[in-house]
Amino acid sequence: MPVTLMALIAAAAVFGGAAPAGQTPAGGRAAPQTRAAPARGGINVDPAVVPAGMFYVGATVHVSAVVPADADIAMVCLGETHALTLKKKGKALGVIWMNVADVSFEQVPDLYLLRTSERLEGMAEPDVLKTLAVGYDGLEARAGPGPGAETLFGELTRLKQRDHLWDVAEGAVAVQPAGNEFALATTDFSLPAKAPPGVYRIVVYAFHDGEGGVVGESRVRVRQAGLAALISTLAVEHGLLYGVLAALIAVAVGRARGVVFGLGSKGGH
Amino acid sequence: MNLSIYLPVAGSAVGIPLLLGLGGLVGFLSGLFGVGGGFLMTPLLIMIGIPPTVAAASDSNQIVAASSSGTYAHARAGSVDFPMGILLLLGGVAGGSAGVLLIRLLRALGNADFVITVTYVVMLGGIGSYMFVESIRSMRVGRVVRDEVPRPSLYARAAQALPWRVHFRRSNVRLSVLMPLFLGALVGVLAAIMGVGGGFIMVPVMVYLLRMPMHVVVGTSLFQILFTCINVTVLQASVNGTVDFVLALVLLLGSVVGAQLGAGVSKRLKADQLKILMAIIVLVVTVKMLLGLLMAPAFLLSYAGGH
Repeated sequence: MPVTLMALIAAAAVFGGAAPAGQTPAGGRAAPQTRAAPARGGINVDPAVVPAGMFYVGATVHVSAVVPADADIAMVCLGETHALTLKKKGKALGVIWMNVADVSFEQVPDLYLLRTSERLEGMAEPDVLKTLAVGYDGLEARAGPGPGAETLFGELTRLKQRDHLWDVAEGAVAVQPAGNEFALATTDFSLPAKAPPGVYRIVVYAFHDGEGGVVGESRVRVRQAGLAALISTLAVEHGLLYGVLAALIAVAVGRARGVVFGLGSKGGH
Repeated sequence: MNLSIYLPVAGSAVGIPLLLGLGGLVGFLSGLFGVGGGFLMTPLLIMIGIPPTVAAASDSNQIVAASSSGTYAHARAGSVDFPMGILLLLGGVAGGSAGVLLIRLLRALGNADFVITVTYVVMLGGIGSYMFVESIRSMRVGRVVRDEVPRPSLYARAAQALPWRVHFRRSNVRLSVLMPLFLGALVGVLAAIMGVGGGFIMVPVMVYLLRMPMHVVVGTSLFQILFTCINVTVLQASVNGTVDFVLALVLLLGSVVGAQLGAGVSKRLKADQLKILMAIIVLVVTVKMLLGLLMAPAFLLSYAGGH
């Protein structure tokens, strides 16, 4: 009896949702229950909470999901979406390169990391991918065009890629059979340190015979911790006090330097 | 081994050795010339990925440490002209406020970026070229400028005609109090437009326009920079929330060592040699900026907030 993709997607959600946390049907990497994100659609995220302390340089987040067998899989780690205004560089007086205009984009995610099991172009028709915002074409459709942004989405993409905030990796999702109708899809997302603290959605898509849909969704949270959190909170909520303290500590360090290196330490000549 | 540190306000991780190195470089210049180094440090921080607004504000914070140490030591050595410094500071605050209003007006008119960029290149290029040529000339004739008999230029005649002339004992110059007030205001306007502390403009102003001796220039410049940067740090933290203290702390740890090296080197150099070195550094920065203006940028878009 033929089974449609949508039916399988629904079944995967039910199956995955019922699967005990920390156990994966195909023996994939298990997520500790205490650290696993609240999963919908059988998605495990490890770790579900990423602490950003003083020595945080980014983190690798492992994601596993129960998906329909024989489907091509895409997983997206998605940040908050908001309007973004950037400076556009152009030539002034025909010679000097400088900021010449503001460029506005309507919906731009802070973070967009896409991992797929196959090449994107072979997974579904471009319109399907665009509708689901799987791939840069879908992002472009949502991003604009705002005033002056018609031809600059490519530049926005390059800017985001430079900071490792947007990234597409085809073939980076491993899919292993887990029974007749299901499989286990796994991938790793590298969260860059530049990704701001907050909640990031992990969305899993399945594609088959040109159809596509969301298998399930989970979350990973990046939160500042320890001294970094203390400093950040002070800076945001008590700016004046923070500024005075920063200046006073700097003066004290300067004086300490004079003591350590002797009073002849003038910082000049 | 993880040698990076997370900057909670900047929201990024940067290598500790890199920050220590940058701090050391700025500290070295501070020790050598008595400048804050903001004109060099802020672009360098932006180049390594720090947001422009955070780079400028945090740089001010770290300069507070470097300049407080230097000011204290110079004050004990008697090489800070406090009356002159206070007048320059008062003028600087007034000029800085006027400069902020001017920038707001220019932004409303839509050409602030052009004015900022051109001001940067013209000021850096002009000061660097003048210092370089003057220092070469001074070294050739074997005497410093302040020993020369001033030519009765329009500037000299105007300076002598101003009222309220007083003797500044530390600097051993007799000037109208209006001069440091006016020149301080002028530097304040330029510093506000360019988004820097203004030390690299103030030092040449003290040497060439106020005719102050170099050893007093360094101490007085540091004194003025100290209070300017305290003001900027508190304002930026309370109004814009852009001071990253962790970034400032690592930079100033590097600058502590750099400043000692700078001070050590400066003792071995003559005033003219120091001036020509500073002129070369200013000119190198100018050329770098000029190339940035003339060559096609790697990215046609940039985040708002920088120059």
